[in-house]
Amino acid sequence: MEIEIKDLTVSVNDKKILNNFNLSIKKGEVHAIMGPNGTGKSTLSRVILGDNNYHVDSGDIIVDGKSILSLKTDERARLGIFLCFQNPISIDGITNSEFIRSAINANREKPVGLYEFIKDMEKEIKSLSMKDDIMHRNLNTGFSGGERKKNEVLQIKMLKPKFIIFDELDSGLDVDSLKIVCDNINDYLKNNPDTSVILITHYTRILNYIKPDFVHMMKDGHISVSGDYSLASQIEKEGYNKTSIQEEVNSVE
Amino acid sequence: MLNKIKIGDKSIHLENNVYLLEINKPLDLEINIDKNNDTKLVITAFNNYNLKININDNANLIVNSLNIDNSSNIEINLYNKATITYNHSVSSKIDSINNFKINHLESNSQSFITNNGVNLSNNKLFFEINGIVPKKLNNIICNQSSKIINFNNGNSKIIPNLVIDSNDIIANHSSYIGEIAEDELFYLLSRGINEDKIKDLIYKAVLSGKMDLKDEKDLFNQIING
Repeated sequence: MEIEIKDLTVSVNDKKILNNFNLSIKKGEVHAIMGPNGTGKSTLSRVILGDNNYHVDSGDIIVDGKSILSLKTDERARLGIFLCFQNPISIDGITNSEFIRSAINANREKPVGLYEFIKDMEKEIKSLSMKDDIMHRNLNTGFSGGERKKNEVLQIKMLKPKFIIFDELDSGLDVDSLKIVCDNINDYLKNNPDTSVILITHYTRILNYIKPDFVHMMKDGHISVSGDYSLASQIEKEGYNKTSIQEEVNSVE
Repeated sequence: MLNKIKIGDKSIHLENNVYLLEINKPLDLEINIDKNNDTKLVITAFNNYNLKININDNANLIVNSLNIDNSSNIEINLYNKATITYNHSVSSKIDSINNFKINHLESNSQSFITNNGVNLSNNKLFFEINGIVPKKLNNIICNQSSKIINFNNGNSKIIPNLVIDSNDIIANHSSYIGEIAEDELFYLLSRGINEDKIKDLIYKAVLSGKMDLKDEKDLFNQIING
């Protein structure tokens, strides 16, 4: 999927969160977005999915050549856009399998067959080293932080999106779980090479597992500096506010 | 396996077992759980009823109750070391008034009352829950939690009362009335599920709530999906 975010300015209660944000993503590219708290990284993810709490003041989000701003959240999702939530919510009374099956069927004319669905889900549950009963448990209810993140990746493997936004994927994951999750994501990206990715993160740790093609640093609601993986290393070494990066920011601005 | 209760007597005794009470016409019934029994009662109700439940010493009762378009008055009397876990779910498109009175009559008794409702139309849906703990009782737990989701512009009300005269007690209550929670809606929409299907899912979720459905699972699903 190709994504172009053009001059996007977004506000909440008249406070600007994104300010002339620009980003272009080609099919199959992985873009990491880094930055300190409060720079608008998570806002970006929710605006792409059409969260009504955010008002787009100007600019556009173009997916495969068409603006998606007029589309509702579910319509954007059915195009193949997937947000892997930082804190996935839990809902008592809806089983995991019921939820995922509903999401699959939302994009199909003919509902997925029960046997086919269970077979696929069991395979992916195994590959993510999740407990067998995860299918029948209520959606994220009583799940640990790691199980919730794995459950997000399980949904990716079942729903097969074309553009994935990972919001702080590594938060709540221990080292072993992080490796399992990232192995599964890499496996998915290898099998679906046109899938585009935005990887929002504070830390470079996850970039050791999922290698980005581009690294961007966000500041004041827009990308202040872009580079390759070496930029992440520089941020890790010097921090977001150190001189060398700041000089580049100034030169870009 | 569900043991169906034959309606006829005004007062019945339930033993160590799982029972089904089907209420299709107005009903007044007293249910007694005798000493040391561990009982589960499944209720499906399509008409109004009054229940008085006496839970005797060291007895435990779990109730999973699914109510469609009706009203109910439920009085629960708890004796020494008696425990009640009552999950009461209501789907209503006509006025529905549901009153609970939980009398902790002796020490070491525990009550966990959950009321969940979906108000489908412009009707009333009321839950009034009175947890009563008199003086001189010790080691009491008296908890109540209520939630109503409005699918339309219905008049929903929750009145949670804890009348506590004892000092040795854990008591909690929580209430929520509103539309589908914004974060739940966004999460489900973000997976491509449309609003109509989300209402179906939330309807089932609210009515199933925290119930640990076993023998009654198919029966409840059939009613909810029907």
